[in-house]
Amino acid sequence: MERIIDVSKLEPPEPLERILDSLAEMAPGDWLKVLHHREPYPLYGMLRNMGYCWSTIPGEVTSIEILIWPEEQEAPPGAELF
Amino acid sequence: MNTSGLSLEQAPPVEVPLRFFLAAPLHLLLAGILIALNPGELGSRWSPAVLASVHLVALGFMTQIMIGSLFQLLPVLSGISLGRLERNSLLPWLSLNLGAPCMGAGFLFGNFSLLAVGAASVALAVLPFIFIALFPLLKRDAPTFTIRGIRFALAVFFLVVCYGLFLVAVLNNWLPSERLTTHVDTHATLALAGWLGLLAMSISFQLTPLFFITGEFPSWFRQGAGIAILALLCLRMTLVLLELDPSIATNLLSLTAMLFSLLFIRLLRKRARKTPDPVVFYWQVSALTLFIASLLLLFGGQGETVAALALIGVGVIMPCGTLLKIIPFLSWLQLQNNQSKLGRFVIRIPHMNSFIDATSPWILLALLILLLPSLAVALRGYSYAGLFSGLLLIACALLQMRIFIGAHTKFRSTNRKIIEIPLKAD
Repeated sequence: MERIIDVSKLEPPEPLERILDSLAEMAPGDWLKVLHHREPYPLYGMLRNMGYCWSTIPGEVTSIEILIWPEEQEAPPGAELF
Repeated sequence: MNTSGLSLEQAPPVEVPLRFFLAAPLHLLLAGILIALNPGELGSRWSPAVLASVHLVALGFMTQIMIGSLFQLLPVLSGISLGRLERNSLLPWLSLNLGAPCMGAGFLFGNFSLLAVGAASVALAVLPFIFIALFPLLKRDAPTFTIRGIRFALAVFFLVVCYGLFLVAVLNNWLPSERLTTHVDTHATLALAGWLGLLAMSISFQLTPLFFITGEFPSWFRQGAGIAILALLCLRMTLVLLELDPSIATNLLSLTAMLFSLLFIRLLRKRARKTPDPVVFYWQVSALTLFIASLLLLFGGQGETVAALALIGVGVIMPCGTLLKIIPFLSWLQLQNNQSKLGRFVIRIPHMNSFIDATSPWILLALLILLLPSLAVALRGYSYAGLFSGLLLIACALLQMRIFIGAHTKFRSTNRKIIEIPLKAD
């Protein structure tokens, strides 16, 4: 199931805090869609360390969207894999 | 987070800047004690207690925080390497924390040998730092406006320190000088407008949009302000050396500072998020004080009042506010990184806002705001205002220590939990 959070109006490091909080609460099979105004570079290293995959794509509501899912799960619809 | 232009993987361990940040309020405390014990001496810029307090605040507090911040910011902002940071930051930290009180004692007791030892210790702290920071910055291609401004600030800081050493030599009668007051004015102008002003302005170009999602300073200002300040400082020094009136350069410097403060206040009003944040108020008070100090300077106000407003308004209030954001941010980021290296969510890291209680920053700000008019009155020679200013400074320093130590204790206890859990699992 997709969970969506909009962190585009939050000041640092609240976007990171909200994203990490949401990941900790995610049930198996869920993935996270983050609506953001910039690429959260510090997040990517943390996601890699914690075994998550991500895909950053142009957003519809905000300038970018980041899809995040556990690496043992299949990529969610819309994710661009490199 | 707008991290464009940042190299976050280069960030040093939080302990590197923290050792500077935690030591800084001690010097503010010493300055406060000196002022409280000599409340009537604030009427003269040449009084031993004033000279001692000014150097404790300017070197022990302000420069200490600025150097600590640069150890953190330079690798992140410019991607340059400052070598082994834990080791390279130790000498500047030790020398500055020995040198500033030593200089203070030298001024206070009129002991020029002690003053020379203190000044040499400060030079030992600062000059190697300038070299290890400035040369990699000069080699960097396509510098941002912030990097360019930091280069200028470090170059001026080199001059400030050399000028200071020259003045110490004059006081020790090792060198002759007939124009001591003029040289002291130049030393102070370079320190306030060049070192403090250029650095605070350049860093605000990067940190304001980063922390408060405000948009950018106008590009014409970012492009021109740093070079304008540098050129005006050079012009002022040249006029002084030629024994001509430097007021044209001083007035243009005031106008540039006023323009910066107005743009800064306007930018802070454009925050995407309108919830009250004490740090925004610190920065707004700082910008407003800079505006008032520059206006006073432009209309021939008392030089001592202008210097005190600039030193406390920009040199103390701005770093105080910034640290209220930076210390929790760096602590939180380091804890998250430490935790993520374990590959799982072992501990819920406390939110950044929980590192500092909600009320203390506002109380500290109120004390600092009170300090500004109190000092302005004390500089006219009123002892009661001097005593009140000293006590306010002591209260500010103690509260700051409580805030910083509290945040650091929270960092250490959470970090210990992160480290201990995998050991238990083993």
